[in-house]
Amino acid sequence: METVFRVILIYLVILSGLRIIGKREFGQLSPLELVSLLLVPELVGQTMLKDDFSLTNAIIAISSLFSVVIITSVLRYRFEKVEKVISGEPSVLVSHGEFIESNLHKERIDAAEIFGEMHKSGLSRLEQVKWAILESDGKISIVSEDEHPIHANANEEDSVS
Amino acid sequence: MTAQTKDYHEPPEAPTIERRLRFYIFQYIGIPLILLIPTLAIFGVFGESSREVRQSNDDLAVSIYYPERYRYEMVSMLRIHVQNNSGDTIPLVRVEISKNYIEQFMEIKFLPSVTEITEENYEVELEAIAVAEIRVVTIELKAEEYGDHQGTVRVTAEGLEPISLMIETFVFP
Repeated sequence: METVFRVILIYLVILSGLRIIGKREFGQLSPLELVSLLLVPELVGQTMLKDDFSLTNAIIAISSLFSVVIITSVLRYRFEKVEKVISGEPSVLVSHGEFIESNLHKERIDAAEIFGEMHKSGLSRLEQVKWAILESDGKISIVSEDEHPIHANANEEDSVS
Repeated sequence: MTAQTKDYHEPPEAPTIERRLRFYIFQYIGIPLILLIPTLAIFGVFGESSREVRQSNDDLAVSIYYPERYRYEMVSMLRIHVQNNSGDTIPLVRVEISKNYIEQFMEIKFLPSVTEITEENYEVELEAIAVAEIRVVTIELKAEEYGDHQGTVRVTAEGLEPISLMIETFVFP
């Protein structure tokens, strides 16, 4: 019984922590994926190291984790407000060639980083950028003024013009 | 998006669709199963539990507290309380516990010590139990083999009617 509450508590603490530190920090994974990936080995490790060595305890711990993941995922999909709380919202970093400085400060992203992403998208001047958006998963999407959406990492082979 | 009052243009929002919960067939089966395990755990189904059984006659009263359920490598106690109900001191009482039950566990510690191990039982002798006196045999058992283990505890004394009680312990893997 204690195991179930321990798993739920740790899950909530990690999820809240990741949500607070910001989108950019977890890069390639969504918060839910990252929490699950962090916790599964931790739970198995704890089971091996702590007093209760039983397989039963490991199964309870893993199924508790999966249960909170399922419940969170269902709530997130069903209720938009929950989704905003858990996953956050995209942040506009550049709008029609102008930096949105307040968002850059909040997300702790500097101009050089935006330019780096622009270069990956084949753009060299800020005026060419219609929108640069920090998505909920931590990736920066670049939409150029010529209305062709470009993902920051999509065409790294393109040279800077 | 993020700011409360926005003085910049935003990209168009994604169209809104009504959010409905739908699952694949395997999820209709699997999700309740996943949710069931912690739910049962919260209600103590996989936890440690003990049980007491009693039996008495004019000469002896026996109570046994034993682990009904516990998990692999957990330690639990089996306590056998023997009370003299007769009007005289009983010179010797023999407590016999099934060998096939005891040997499902490891790191077994008897208090008082085992007097004899026969083909079928572990035996502990209790000497000179005074009138209304209660003696306790304690056995520490660490769960090893998982599954259901059954055994019998038999308390005998010369010239007195014996008492026999069944015990059953389930060990989770």
